[in-house]
Amino acid sequence: MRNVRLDLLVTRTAPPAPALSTPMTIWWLGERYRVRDGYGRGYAEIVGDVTEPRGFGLVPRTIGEFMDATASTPRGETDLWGDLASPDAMVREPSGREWEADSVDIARVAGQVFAPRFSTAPTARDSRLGRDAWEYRSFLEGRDNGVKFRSLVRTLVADGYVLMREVTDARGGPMSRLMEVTELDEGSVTEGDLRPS
Amino acid sequence: MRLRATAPTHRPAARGGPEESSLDAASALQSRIGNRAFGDLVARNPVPTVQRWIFIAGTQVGRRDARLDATTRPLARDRKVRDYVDDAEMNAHASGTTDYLGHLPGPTSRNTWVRFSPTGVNLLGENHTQVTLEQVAPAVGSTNFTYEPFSRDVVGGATATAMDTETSGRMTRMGVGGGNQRDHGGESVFPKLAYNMEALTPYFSGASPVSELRRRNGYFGQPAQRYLKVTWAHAKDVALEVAMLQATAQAVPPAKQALATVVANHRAALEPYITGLAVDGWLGDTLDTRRNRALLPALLDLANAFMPVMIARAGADPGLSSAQQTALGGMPTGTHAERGAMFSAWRNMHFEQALTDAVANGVRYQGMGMAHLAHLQSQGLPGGTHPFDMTAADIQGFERATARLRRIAR
Repeated sequence: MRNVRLDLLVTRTAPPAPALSTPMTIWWLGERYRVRDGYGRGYAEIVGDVTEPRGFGLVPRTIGEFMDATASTPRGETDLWGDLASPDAMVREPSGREWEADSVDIARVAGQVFAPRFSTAPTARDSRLGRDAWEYRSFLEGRDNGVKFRSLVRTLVADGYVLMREVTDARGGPMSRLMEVTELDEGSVTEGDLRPS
Repeated sequence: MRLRATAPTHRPAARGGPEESSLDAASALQSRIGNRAFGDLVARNPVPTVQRWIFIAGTQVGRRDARLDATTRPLARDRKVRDYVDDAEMNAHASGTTDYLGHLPGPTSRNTWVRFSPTGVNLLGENHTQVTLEQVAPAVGSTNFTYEPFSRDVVGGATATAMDTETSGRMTRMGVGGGNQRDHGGESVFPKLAYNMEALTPYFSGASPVSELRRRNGYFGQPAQRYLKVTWAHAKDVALEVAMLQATAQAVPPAKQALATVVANHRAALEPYITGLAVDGWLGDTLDTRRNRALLPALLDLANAFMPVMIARAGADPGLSSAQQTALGGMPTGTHAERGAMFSAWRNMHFEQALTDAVANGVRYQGMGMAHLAHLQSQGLPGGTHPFDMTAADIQGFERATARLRRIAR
C-alpha cells in the first residue's frame, strides 16, 4: 500500500514580483492523500501549480496582482484532504474556514510527486536524496496571449518519485517554477496524518 | 517500499459537460422544422417543451408543469441548469427583473449557475484571470457595480482621458460603455501608477532586460504599458498645474516642480512614443528596439521624478479620510519594500472607502482581487454585505451545485 510523506519546496519566479518560495508537504496513505501548503496560498494558486498550461503556476498578470504578489507575506497553512475513491475533497484555509471541493484537481496536486510515463529516454543521470535519479526533458507548448509558448520541463525521477521538476521558458523569458523534494519518508504515514484535526 | 513509476489514477472529471441523454420527440421536431416554426408550435401548444434543467425548491420542474408559460418556457429549452427558490423567482428571472442569478459565460466555469444575494452589496473576491466581475455582472444582468480596474479618483485633464482610453473596452463589455468611469470605480489608480514606475525603474536603468517586458516573455509588459501611458498623462497635468501656479505667483511644491522639469526636458522624445502606444499592448514589444532603447534614460528620469509626487499624494489623497491620509503619510518610504507596503496600504484604504460608498449608495456588486476582499473581511464587513470568494470556496460551491443538479436531472 502506498505510504509516503514528501516535503517540497516550490519556487515561482515572475518578475518583477519577487520570487515566491512555498514549503509544501504531501502525505499518501493508500488512496488517500493530504496536501499542506506552508505559505497559506489560496486554493486557486495551489491547484494552478498543476493546471496552468505554461507550467509556471498561477502567476500575476494584472498590475493589482503584481502589487499583491509584491506585498504578500505567509498567511499560515492551507490543508487539503482527499481520497481517490471519492469525488469530494476538503479544504481548510488558514482562517480555519473549511469547505468541500472537487477532488480531481486536488488529486493532481497531491500526485505531482509521482512520475508520469515518459515517451523519451532520460537525458542525464544524477543523485538526489541518496537515490539514483534520471533526468527527463520534455516541453509544454501552446498559445498564450496570442503568441506561442514553449516551456522546457526538466524532471528528475528516482524510484517512481519526481524529486525535482523545473519549468523554464524555452524561449528565454524570465518566468519559472521549480519544485524540489527536500525530504522523502516512506512507511511513516499514519491514519492520524490523514485525519483532519 | 518502492512504487511503480506511474502517476496515480483517479476518477475522470465529474464536472464535464451536461449528461447528454437522447433527445425527446420535441427536440427532434425542433431540429427538423427550425426554431421559429417550433416556437410558433409551442406558442399554440405548451406541451412539447424540451426541458430537464429547471429546479424549483430543489425539485425538477416537469415538462408539462403548468407553471411554465410563454415567458419561462424558453428558459427550459437550452439545457442549462437553473435553480430557483420558488415560482416567483423563476418568473422574475425569466422576465429579466432579477440581478443576482445567471450563468457564467466562461471560459472559466462556463454555464455554472450562480446565485448572489438579492439584497445588499455582493462583494466578489476574484483572481483577475479566472471568474471575474466582468463575467458575472453581464451574467446576472447588473450594471450597478464598482470594480477594481476602474478608478474612483476625481481627476480631469489628460489623466482622465488616458484612463478612459485604457478602460473603455472593459466598460463597454460590462454594459456601461460611454459612462463615467468614476461611477464604477473600485479603487484609486494612483497606487498602481506609483507601483508601476517603481517596478519599471530597473528596466529603465538597465538593471533588468527590457526584453522581459515583451509579450512572449511574460505578463508584466501589458499593465506596465497601460499605466505608463496614464503616468505620462498625469505628469503632463502636473506640469500644467505647475505652470498655472507659477503664473499666479503661488508656491510650487518641489516634487511637482521637478516632475514638470522632466516633462519639459523630455516631452519631445517621450510624447510621440508614449501616446503612440496601443491599448493593451506590451511595453517591451516597442521599447526593446535599438531606436527606442535610447528613450530609457528619459523614462528613468520620469520614474525618479514621479515617485515623490505619488508619495506626497498618498499623504493628502482627497479620496481618503484625514485619518487615512495621516496614516499613509507616516509610513516609511525609504526602501523598495517600504514603498511597496505603503502602496499596498494605500490601495486597501481605497477599497475600504469604496465599500463605505457602495453601502451608502446601494451598489449591488463590488469586485476586487481576493486579497483585498480578505483585507476588508479582516477589518469587519458592514451589515448588508455578502462576501463571495470567486477563487475558491464559493465558485467551487456554485460549480458543484450545478453539477449535482445536472446529474439528477431526468
